[in-house]
Amino acid sequence: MGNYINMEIADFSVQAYHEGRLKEITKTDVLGHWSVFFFYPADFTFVCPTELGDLQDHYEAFREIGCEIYSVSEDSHFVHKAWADASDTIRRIQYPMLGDPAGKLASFFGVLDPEAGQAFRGTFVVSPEGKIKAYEIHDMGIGRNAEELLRKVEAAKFVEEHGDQVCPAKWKPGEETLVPSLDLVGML
Amino acid sequence: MSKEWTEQIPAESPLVNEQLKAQLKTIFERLERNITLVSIIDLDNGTCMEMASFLKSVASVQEKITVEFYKIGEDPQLDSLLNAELLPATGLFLDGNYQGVAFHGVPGGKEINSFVMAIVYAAGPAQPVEEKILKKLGKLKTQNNLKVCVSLSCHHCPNVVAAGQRLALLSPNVTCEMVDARLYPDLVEKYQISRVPAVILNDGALYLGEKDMEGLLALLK
Repeated sequence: MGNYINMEIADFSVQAYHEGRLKEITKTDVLGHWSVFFFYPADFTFVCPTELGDLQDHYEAFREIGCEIYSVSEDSHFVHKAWADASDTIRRIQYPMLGDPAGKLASFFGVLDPEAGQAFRGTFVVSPEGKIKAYEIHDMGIGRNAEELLRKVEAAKFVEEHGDQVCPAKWKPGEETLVPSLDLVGML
Repeated sequence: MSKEWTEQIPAESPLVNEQLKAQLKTIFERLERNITLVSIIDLDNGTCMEMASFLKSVASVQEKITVEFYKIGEDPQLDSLLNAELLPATGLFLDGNYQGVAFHGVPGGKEINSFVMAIVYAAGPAQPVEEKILKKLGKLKTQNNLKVCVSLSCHHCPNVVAAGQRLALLSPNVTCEMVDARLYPDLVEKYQISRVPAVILNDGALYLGEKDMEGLLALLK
């Protein structure tokens, strides 16, 4: 089993439903800013609108840190539009919904279930250079949390900007002083 | 120096056990010069008393190390020099002269390493420094103050404190203070410090992440 960390995303061109319009989105569009590819099994299901609605609720926060969301399913962009017309939750979505009926994106990201013709619930955080920096893949019924995803994007962005040689500081009032731990091998 | 009120400071600190004392004794046996640790404390502050006791314990292992305690407000000039707004404030002095190196809080956890390095580098023997660093240091034209905010459990932090304090020991234009940020919530709030090491330059810009001497020098003017 391989892993995708730091793998550059492949060239792609798909049709999307975005803010009431149908448009083409390519690899070039996702470069230059942080991106999240958010795969879900299919339109017109129940867990999916909940997840997609949760993402929409946090969309402004993602945009504030310079991150675009791309939801992806194996439906066409026309089905996305039909879903938006039929569902109040989907109608209010402001991020692009990519159609991947040929399964090219899902295959590249390794989330395609060929028998069902659906995508597993895969989430991929992609850097402005087009490299995968974090990801998770869930089985069909296991939902995800937009707040946790936002934290991951923020962390990825922080490490990119400041390096990874930092420690999170979680001070608690009244914490005791730690016992000294001397380790000066080669320092003196 | 004899100050009766310092007798109420416990001579033994629970932070300095016999094993640590033995290690410190071995390290400090090599000290070349006398060094004085000057600490400004508030007797009603638990952390100040903890630091005072810690300093007494450390000094007890080597006669070249002495400790002087001052109550906050006792010497306003010293309060200003060691930035006593952040208590406890402890500075390193050689022959009565401040070396530009101070600690705010108790250097427990990983920070014992920067504390020991500061004493050894100040009193000698210090490891040689690359010529290019000395050249860059010599070109500094203004006073630079580095406050290295740390967490005592952060393994990156002592390296940054040691690098900054080494620069301070080598240049009169640099001062470097270790700040145990958990003790100073106002500072944390002001600079929105959520990760460490966090270096505050001249009480202004904040820089995050580990930096060596060259990395810190690049920030200085």
